[in-house]
Amino acid sequence: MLRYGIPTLVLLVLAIPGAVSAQMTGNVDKLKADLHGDNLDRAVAAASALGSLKGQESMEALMGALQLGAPPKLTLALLEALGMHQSPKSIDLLEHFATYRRPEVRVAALRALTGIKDRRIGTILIVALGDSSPMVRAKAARELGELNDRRAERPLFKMLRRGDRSAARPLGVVGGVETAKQLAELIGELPDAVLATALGTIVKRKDFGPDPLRREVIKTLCKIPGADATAALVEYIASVPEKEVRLSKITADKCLEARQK
Amino acid sequence: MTRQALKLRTLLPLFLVAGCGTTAFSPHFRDNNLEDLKNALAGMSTEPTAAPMNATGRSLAFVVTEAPTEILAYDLQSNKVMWRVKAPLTTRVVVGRSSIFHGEGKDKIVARSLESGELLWSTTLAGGDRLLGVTTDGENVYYVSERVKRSSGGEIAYLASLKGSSGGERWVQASSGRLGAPVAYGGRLFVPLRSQSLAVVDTSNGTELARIRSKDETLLWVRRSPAGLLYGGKNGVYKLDERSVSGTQKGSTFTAAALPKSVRPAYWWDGYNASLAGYTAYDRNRLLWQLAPTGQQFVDQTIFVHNYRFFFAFDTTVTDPKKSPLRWAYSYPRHDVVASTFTGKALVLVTDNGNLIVLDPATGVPVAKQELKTKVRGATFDAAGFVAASPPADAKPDLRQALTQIIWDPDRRFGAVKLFCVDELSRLAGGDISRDLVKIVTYEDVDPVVYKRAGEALVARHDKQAIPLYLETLKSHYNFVEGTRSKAVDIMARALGDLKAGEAVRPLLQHLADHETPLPAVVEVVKALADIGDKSILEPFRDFLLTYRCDPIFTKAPAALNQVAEALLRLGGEDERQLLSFVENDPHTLLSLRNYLGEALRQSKPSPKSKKPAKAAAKK
Repeated sequence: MLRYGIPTLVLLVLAIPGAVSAQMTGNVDKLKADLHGDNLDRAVAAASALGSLKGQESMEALMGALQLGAPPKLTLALLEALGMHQSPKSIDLLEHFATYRRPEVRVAALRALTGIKDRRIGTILIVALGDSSPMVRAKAARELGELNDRRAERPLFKMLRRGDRSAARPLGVVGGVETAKQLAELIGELPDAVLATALGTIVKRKDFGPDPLRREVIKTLCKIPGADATAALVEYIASVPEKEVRLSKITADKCLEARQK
Repeated sequence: MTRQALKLRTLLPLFLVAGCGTTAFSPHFRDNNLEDLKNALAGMSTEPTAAPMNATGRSLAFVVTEAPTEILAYDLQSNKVMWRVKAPLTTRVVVGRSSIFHGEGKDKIVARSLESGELLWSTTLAGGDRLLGVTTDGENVYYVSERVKRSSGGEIAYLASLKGSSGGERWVQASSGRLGAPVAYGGRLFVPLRSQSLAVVDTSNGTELARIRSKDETLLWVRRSPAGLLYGGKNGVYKLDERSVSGTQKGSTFTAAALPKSVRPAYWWDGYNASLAGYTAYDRNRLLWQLAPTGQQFVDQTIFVHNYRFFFAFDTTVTDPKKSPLRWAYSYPRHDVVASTFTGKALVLVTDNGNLIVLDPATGVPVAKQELKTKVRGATFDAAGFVAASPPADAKPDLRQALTQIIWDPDRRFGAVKLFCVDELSRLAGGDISRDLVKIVTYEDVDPVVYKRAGEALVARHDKQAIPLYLETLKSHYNFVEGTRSKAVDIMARALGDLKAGEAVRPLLQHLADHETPLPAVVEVVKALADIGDKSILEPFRDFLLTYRCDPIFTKAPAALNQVAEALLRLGGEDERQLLSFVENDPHTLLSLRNYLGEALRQSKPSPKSKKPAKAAAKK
């Protein structure tokens, strides 16, 4: 009977206070005892301490406590601590908690996952974009932007179309030419601020081009009214090296001049 | 003060003095006396059977329109408007032989020509503040009015007669007991009295000839019909004959329909309710029927329920609650049917948007439709015996379609009707019914009450053929990005658990693990998985229990964790028992779960075979 790699009965034995006391040989053992003790505040503090302690033993102590189940306050502390270990071994367990019934726990699990370098993380985050909690979706979207995971392009686009603004910037990070074109067609349909954020992020990217394509995006931004589009144009101009001559930059300048009039 | 009111003030004390001992409506009048009744009935003339009252002999509808208020006389046989006049009427239209009558303003009764709608006369109500009902025998007019407060002399109601030709007063009878809407029939006048009796009155002078008093129930109404003079309350219909003197249902010629509980037993308009003298919502929610001449059964053994936009025909011979008495159902889209009548051979309806529809009473199939192109407030029919064109030979009622149409009706007013239709739908045989019910419970905007009832019906069907359909329904999960949602997980779980469908274990476990599954549905999923009893649930159940055992979120649905624990105890071995023992003893575990486990573990003793050393179990 395995539970995320550790036999449950072993976990049970570890959780028995008497058994733990008998094995208290070092700092980790004391913290483990606190983790499984009656005092919740001490357990939370122990979890934080185990997060700071590097090493297999402290990580397994955290995983064991999570697997045996804990009150929400302690669960959050355990997830934060486990995230500090950034170990691929904890991915399965963290993925399990990324589908916990409390959104704050799901967010904490996602946060813990994002420190781990593993391709599976992107997949888990993409699944989280479908979450009913805006808080969880926003966290997943932001992290996917940070990871620059191109697999998230379509889900993020759909998320934006369904009215979740938190997808705008991450979509700008991972979105390609096709996304830029599709966003341009949504003027008037999606909020101006959302479109300006997404397109402004796309056009600033060094990997986005060539310049005629950037110019098209700038023209689209010109069509979007409001301060967000203006800010996106200003930021774009600022992002282009001073000495570099770009038609898209000239177009952005002209557009800003026209807006000032 | 008007001349007539003055006249009434002068005359009323005289009536009271003259009526002492034998006065009409005296509380001391002899009731349920066969001799009195025989004498009263002996002088009665015979009324034509199943024919309109009016002198033209044609079936007519007098439709009252809104903004402006007009009376529109419509010939049902030729489908033509005869005339249309503006008329600020305040009561329903009453049809006589060559005139129609109605209330107007606060205290006027008006007569109009039946041929042209032209105003013939107008007169002020004698006594009373409000009109309860008007009737005519073709020659003269009779009405009952009621005072809001009892007079100093103790009068509360008045029965009066006017000359049909001029509106001139013939006589007035005062009553210290409440009177209901009267009916003229066969040369006599019949008046509900004191909510318990029916007075038979001489039309020539207002003298009470006989009185029937019910010992069983409140009598609210009296009705003229081709089967004779009928009266009753909310329990059924009495036919007036010599047996009426028994004063009981059993001793009288009485019949009633066994109707579903949700149907309001409005056999006829409550004669004591003054508001029902006009067109009201009551006209849209009542029973339609005709009595067979014997008085012991309804014509065609059918009673029709008119419920706003819906009509249902019930077989009155079905008394077994397990069998459905429903013959057909009909719904009119979007608009209310404001008036209806059963002529004995056709159902005639008028809708608020001005459509006149005729239904075949045998099938509920529309056989005629006319557009009046006007907004309608109400209508009065004089169409006894009216027959419409025959329905097409292949016109058969599709009850399933009619019921689903009503269930899917977007109008939120009709929750009770929809529940009734769900019940009736679930009683029909055939696999498609399960599909219909699944469609109802998976509809996003379904009324929660309808959802519950349809779900219960679905589970109760115990339909093995529908397992693939249930499994298909379970495939749906919530996903914001994809715009999908889980559908009726709780009901699918219940149905599949009830059927012990092993193939449902996997999809049910997926819903157990899905945090988007609502907690009440989680409880049903757990129950279903436990009922199916597949051992593959042990691991996911252990996971679930350990993950949530300390989370107060489950204080809202303790059954979910309790059922998981119980299933582990029942299906698992020593390992599960140890795990449950740990969960019970850990101070962080929810108290409700600890208590439940404590009791469950005490009650179940481990079998000797399942005992094994903890070390061996740990190595596993």
